[in-house]
Amino acid sequence: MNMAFSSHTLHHGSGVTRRLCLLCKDYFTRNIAITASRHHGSLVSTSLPDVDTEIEKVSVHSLRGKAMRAMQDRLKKRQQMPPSREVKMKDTQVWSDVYPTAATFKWSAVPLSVRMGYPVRRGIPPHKLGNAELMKIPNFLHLTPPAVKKHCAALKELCTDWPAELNSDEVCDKHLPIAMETSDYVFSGPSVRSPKARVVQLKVKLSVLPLDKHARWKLIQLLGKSYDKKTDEICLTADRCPVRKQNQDYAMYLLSVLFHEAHITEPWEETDATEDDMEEYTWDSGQSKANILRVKKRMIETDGNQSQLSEDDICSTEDVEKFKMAYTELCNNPETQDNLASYKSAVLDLVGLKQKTAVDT
Amino acid sequence: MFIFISVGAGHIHLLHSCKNLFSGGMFSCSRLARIIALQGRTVHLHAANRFPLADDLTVTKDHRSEYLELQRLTRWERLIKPFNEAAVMVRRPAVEIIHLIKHTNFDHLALKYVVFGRKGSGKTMTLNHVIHYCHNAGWLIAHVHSANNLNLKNKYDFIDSSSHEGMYDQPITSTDWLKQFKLRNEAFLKQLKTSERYVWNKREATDKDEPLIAVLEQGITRPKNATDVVGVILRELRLQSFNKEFKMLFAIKAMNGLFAHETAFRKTGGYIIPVEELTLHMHFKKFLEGNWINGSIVTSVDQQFCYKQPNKEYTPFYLLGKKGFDHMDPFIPVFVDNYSEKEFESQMAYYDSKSWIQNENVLTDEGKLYLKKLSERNLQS
Repeated sequence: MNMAFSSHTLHHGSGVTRRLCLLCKDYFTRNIAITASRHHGSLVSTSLPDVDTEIEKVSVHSLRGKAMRAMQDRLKKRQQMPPSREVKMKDTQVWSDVYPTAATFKWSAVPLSVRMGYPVRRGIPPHKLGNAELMKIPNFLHLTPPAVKKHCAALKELCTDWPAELNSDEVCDKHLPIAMETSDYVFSGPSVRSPKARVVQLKVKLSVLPLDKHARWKLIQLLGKSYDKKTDEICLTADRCPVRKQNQDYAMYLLSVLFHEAHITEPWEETDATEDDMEEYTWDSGQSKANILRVKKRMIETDGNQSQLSEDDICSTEDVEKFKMAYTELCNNPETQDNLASYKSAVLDLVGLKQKTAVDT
Repeated sequence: MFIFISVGAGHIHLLHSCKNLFSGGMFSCSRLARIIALQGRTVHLHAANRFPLADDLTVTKDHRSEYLELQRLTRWERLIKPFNEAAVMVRRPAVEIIHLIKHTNFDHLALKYVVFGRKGSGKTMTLNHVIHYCHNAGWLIAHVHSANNLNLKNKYDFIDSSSHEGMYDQPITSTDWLKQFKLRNEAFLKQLKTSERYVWNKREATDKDEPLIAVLEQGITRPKNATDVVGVILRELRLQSFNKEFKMLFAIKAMNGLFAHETAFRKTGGYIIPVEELTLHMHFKKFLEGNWINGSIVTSVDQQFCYKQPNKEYTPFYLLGKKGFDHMDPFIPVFVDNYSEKEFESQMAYYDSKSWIQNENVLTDEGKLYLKKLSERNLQS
């Protein structure tokens, strides 16, 4: 199959293509895989034709055949290329010397028969020789485990010891509550500075700050999305200044401003804050209280056995208290079947149907 | 495992009027009127409870079409004809509501129930069962078929309201509602009198102490006034409930539609009419407040047909929102779960008895198990 395909290339290809093919052939004769290729075409890339077979097929008498053989002879007379590096490699060599840093894939330096690329005509992916696909992708040939170990050993001399007192995360959090997160970027380019390195993230737990109830609520309002309720963590990101140090200072400034602002109570806060602004629902100010009073008053009027009660008296009765608890629970927490069940039982209690609920089934 | 449901007629004269409705030339087109009362019968809970379809109640062709015009049929209603009976499975939620209704002190303000559950778990049937009970007990029934649908259906049906500035009336929807209200409660409407004079326009007015049906006829013949008529009727019912002459059930399916924000109604120029600007919704909401006595409010919240509303959860607080929840508060939430094992079995047995299932393999143990696992015992899925 390989042969048929090669002849196809030769017959229809231009002169330049032909020459290139011959050159390739010449090149391979001194290399490893080519002897096998004559009989096992699939081992070599399908994109490279088997030139020897092609020449044999062409008539000795035809002009084309003569020309091809002449070219073959001329190429054979050329000075021989030295064997490639991978053939000369020894088992005892140090690999990190071959690939000391990140570098593009080089077929002659990697003694592995890797293949990559689009397989031509139901073949297999092309081999590594001059394979551009292998050069495009990043590789980790410089990051073998021994190489990493070497790097670490070299860096160890430059490090200082971890303070013995900070032996657990809790102790670290206690003594160093504010954490600054930055990123360093190492890359080769005309400038070694990366603009992304200036960004600073300040993280601190809200519970660490000394706040009263109002200040806590207001700080959460001021922080908005910078506060994560689940982890109770404040995360301030500063990236407006060009240098990291400036951003660090700005983040600290921001935290202190927010902290002090939270302690101030403005006069409009008491009048303009609505129910939605509050962190927690309070029953006494809401619509629900009015509803309950309406229902309760009618009950008291019609039942007639109770004396006139004031609003406060109604609100302090046991069933209303229970309802209040259940309602507040429902408003402040995610709605679950349990919440609803307790709300239901509170309502039944309120309307005096509690003892009637037992349905015999 | 037995429950006794006695569906007795509360008032003799009302029962009589109901009889007139049934046996007279005019057939009540209310959705449950075709169901015969199960008077003093022991009913097996979880079992399909069958109400035979009586001969004299067979729907004539004319009425059938009239009925279809008024309301969209549910799956259950579509099965009434092939099954030749209207069977309701007696399930815990409906029994619970009926049980509570029986023990309610009707001097207090109307108690609210909110039925909630997954799609297809049987909220509508629970509501229907309660309506059926109240109908047999001779109650007045105000029923909104689906409030979610009110926001979607007849989307070109809006005109500027004459009585409420900046709001919109819905003539067609209101007329439809009035028609089905009239067919269901004609006897009551003839007895009840208006408490004050209502002026509809320069020439037309309804005097004081005229039967309420005159107001209703006015709305049906003059669709422009229909929404105001709905408001007037609901107002009259609300005020006259304190006379304790009749008992009343207000049933709304998918009540969360009243507390939605957007509707499908779009004015030329692109203005989308919000729910707050629709007078019909306003009247229903006002009635839903429950400032009346001698009755109950049974509603359901539904995920289906939520127009541009989030519908990920099926719980009342989520679907109603804080505002709607406060409007309804205090209410009794009633959860409708998927079928239990036993309910599933009896449903399958019922389908089998009606030869409804064509594939024989379904009725084997393996087939049932397969169906059970696939559907999670939910009829809709």
